[in-house]
Amino acid sequence: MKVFEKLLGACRPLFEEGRPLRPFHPVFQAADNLLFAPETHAQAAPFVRDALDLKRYMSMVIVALLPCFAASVYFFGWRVLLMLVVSYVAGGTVEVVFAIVRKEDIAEGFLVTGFIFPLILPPGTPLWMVAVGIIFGVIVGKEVFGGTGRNLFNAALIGRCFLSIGYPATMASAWVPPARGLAGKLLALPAFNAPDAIAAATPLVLAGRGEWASYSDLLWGRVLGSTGETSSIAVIVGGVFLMAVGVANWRTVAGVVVGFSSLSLALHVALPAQAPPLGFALLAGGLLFGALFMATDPVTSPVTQSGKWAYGALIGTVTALIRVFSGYTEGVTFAILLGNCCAPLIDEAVIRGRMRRHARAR
Amino acid sequence: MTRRSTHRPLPSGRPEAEATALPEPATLYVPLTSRRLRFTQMSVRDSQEVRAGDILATAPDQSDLPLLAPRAGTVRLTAVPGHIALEVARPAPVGTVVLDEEAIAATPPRDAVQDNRALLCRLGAWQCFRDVRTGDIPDPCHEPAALVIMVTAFDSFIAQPEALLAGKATDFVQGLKALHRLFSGSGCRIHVVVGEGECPTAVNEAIEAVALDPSRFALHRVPQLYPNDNPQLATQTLKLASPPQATVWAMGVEGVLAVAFALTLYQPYLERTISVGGPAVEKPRHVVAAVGHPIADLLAPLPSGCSFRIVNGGLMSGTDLAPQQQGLDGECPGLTVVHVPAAREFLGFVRPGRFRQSFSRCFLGTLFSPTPEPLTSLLGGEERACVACGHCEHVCPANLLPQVLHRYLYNDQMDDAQALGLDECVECGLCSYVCPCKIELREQFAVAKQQLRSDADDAALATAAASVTDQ
Repeated sequence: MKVFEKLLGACRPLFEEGRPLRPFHPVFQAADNLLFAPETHAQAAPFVRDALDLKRYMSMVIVALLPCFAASVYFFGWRVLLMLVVSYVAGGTVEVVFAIVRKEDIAEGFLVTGFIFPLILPPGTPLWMVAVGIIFGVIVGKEVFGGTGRNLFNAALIGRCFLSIGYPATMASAWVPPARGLAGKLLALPAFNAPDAIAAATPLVLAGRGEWASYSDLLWGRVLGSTGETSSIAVIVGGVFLMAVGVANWRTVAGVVVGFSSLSLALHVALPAQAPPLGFALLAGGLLFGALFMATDPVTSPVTQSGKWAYGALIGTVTALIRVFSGYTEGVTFAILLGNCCAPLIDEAVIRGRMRRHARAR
Repeated sequence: MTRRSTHRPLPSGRPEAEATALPEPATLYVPLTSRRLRFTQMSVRDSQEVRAGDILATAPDQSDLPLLAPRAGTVRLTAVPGHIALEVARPAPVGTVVLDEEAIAATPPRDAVQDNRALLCRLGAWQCFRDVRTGDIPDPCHEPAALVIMVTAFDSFIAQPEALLAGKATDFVQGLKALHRLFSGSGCRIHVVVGEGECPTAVNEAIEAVALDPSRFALHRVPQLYPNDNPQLATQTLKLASPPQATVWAMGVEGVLAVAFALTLYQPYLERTISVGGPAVEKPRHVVAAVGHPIADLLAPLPSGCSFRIVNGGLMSGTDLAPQQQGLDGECPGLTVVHVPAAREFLGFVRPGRFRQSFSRCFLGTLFSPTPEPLTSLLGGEERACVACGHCEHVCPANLLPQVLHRYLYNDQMDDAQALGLDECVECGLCSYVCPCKIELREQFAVAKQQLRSDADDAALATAAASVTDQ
């Protein structure tokens, strides 16, 4: 601790106003913020503050994602770690460049974006595409709006969407069959070029052809899919933790699950050939991961608590509609991005309702 | 009264309920300013001898409310800037009655209510009233729709009702009756707000007396949680005013005692009972002291070798004690002291947080029952743009949307903020307390509310001027 304190103390003058390294002050500040709590005091009442800060808040998401990450490494090998490193380095560079240009601190939000991005990509995605996707996602999804807290869209989903549309053939052939056995792929060396990648089908595509993955495979994750989303158990464990600590809003999750379940059930009854049974629809694909980790991103959700219900229900129903009635077998990405678009509108409706209530009370 | 959140900070250093009388100091330093009052008009000369209760100065901007001499002694006007130093006479002269009953009776009777109000002003009791919406001292010529007596103190730490009422329950009831006589003519109802559950004996005695007389007083019980001691919140949630915009005044226990002394004994209430607490105080306690009692004496002994911050009032709703303030002021409900740590915490955000207090459930401490924590005035994190976590909405006792109000005020959309109920913000500070982005929400709302009020005053003046011109 003393060593870090001395090191930071020695470096601090190099980044002060008028010194050559001044433009890189946000980088120094980020290192300082990461290691030590700030010295700032409450300006006015209240004179004591809650122990929670944004670093802790965002770290909770990382902790919640660890089961998914561990499962993805087990099923798809250490390449997932390589993807994670690429995502952090490429996206982090963009974040640093924007912080330097804007002369602002590097926000903690990127810790989550950088971690979550490789988990929503197919395991065989070429590493350069991981870099391109996260760079596009961070710039277009976040930085053009002014950075964390001001972004309209989930940056990771924008990156994922860009790759799906920009490189459809590569993305469709980037699925990797999951490992089996006790050690999974934990003992295998990471493959830079994704040699195992095959043009195989995910459970939702197979279901369309009448081939059903077993529920146990769906639960444990022994199916094809994006790196982090295949193991429903890992997703649920992480998601429940995230809701338990209060970072993921349970209203959003409940909205998605209720909206999706009710429509899926109705569709399955009406169109059994097109719509899979509810249990399968819930576990296959990225619905749970999307509901628990992506839709609950507080910045891109409605800010009002009652708005979160409507937002969740919108995402759930749109996902069910896309899956059944469109050419896409997976619909969560588009549904959440559509939800992000509608979030301000939902908030506006809630706020106008409040304003009317205040006006009546007067 | 219902509250959606049950969270409250739990700093260490809760004062003992029993109040200790402090030895009389040789010199009192009476501040010329306090939270709401500015005494700029001197009524005494340097070296003048005064009796206890004599007027030392007045506040010309606030109906000439007086600053009373807390003790008999000799005035030193230039000894300490911003204060009147009073060398206390020894031995203290017997009897501090300022206005005797005969003198009052001798004056020709006019409007009894107005006479009584003038008496309250003269004897320093009027400044105990506050308008719940503005927080200002009301004009003695105005009438409120309701009067709220708050027998509650939930902020950490301000003087507790049991310490204030110890041995004074009878005076308190006398004060309530006097207030009833003062306001009953205008149809103003008196609401007494106390905490739910077991109350200390002194408070119980007062409550029983009030409960016996439901025709005159309405008794309300609120959960013993901050900020249920806020009169504006009580007014809003208990719907004490009809229509909701009607003027409501509030008063605390000491105010009622001051009224009792003024209207039944014709005496000023010159004793103050305050709490001295907080994590940095060695012996947290209640003390009985006079206005002007040296702050250093009140806080002694403070730990040496570390820095601390002194708050005039509670940690949630107080103000920084001005560095130049030497003596206790007449509005201070308590002094709370917190440490200012010299060292920065290393990797605090990755620690389990077994003893951390948080509204969120992000620390291990959530799994255990909370224990008082030596909280400091550090923000504990970097200031960031709002991430809309919604914690402020969860804790807001007034049922507002602080995250949306913040966005409106950030974008300078005052009208929208007002339409969304900005003026119903009770400035409890819970939103600032829980904010993980460390945004000074309470301060932002307080400034905006002040702005709204001054805009409304300007508009009213302009309308009045226009109507005069038209005539």
